[in-house]
Amino acid sequence: MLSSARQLRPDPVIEMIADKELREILTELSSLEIAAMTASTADDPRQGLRELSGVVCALAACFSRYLVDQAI
Amino acid sequence: MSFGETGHPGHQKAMSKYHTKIYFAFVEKAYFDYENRLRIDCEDPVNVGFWKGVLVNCVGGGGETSQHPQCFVPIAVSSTGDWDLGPGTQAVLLRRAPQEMPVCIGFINHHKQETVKEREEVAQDEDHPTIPTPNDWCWVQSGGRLMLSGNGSVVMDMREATDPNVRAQLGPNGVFRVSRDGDASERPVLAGPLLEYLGRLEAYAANLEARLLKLEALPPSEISAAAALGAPGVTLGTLSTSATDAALAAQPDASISGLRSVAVHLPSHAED
Repeated sequence: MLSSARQLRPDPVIEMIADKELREILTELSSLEIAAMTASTADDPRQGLRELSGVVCALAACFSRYLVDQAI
Repeated sequence: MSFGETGHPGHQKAMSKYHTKIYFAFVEKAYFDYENRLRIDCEDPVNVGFWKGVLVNCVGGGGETSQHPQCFVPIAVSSTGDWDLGPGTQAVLLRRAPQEMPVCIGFINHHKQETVKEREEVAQDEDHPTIPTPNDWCWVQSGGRLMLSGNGSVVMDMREATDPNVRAQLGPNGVFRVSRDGDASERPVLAGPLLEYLGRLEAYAANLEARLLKLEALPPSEISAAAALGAPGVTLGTLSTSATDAALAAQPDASISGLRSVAVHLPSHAED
């Protein structure tokens, strides 16, 4: 079920990203969220959310800088 | 977004009330469409057009002789010699290749001193409607360019900026924000898939942070896994925050260890 969900929701925008590492990380973001939600069912339900929030914030900053670097 | 100042009478009022906006008041948006053409949507007649491969913003309307030196913006390729644009019209440039070199589509100012001198001379001409204001000087001294990349995203190059009091920021969803001494204005400048994706990414980050702050305020006994998962919210392309994904999370290959490993191995872009 998990693998089919990943396959059904590709994002063509990500394919436009030239940076291979960034592209791979963003591609994996959906599964990262799933992983975070798994952690949220453990002792501290907030743990996964904390981790995911940190990663997404870092990725947003990374992607913003990437756009600048690509154009200048 | 604008590509230079103008003395168009219809914007004199705007100049007095919103000093910083006058530079971004004439082009509604510039973007590459799906046919790989740069399109400029104008909201005001005459003031913007393409001429001999450059995008110009003419002062006072009229012909070539009325072009202001600051209003020349080089464009990589021009397929048209059209000069004037009527209200509600579009100007179209063809791009040679998908990976065209970045082109400058606008600027915060022109920082050359001789241009400042020219503006002083222009201001003394009673027949010329352009009157520099303190904010004009501010822009003249600030530096910076708006760049349109080969992949259609717009970025801002402030490497030549000289005035630390002027701040310009290119935000998500193509919003260009300029500010000086607390006076700020925002303007949509370009729509593109990558920029939209950035907006979604940042909205998702904000959504997660808001949910986390809300949960942090609760005592642990009141926090359930369902609360941590939150209501269906921001969707970021391939993922959503819906409870459906929570069910998927029960799959054995999902692991927070992967999340940690990615968090510490972000590309160098994020380390600046």
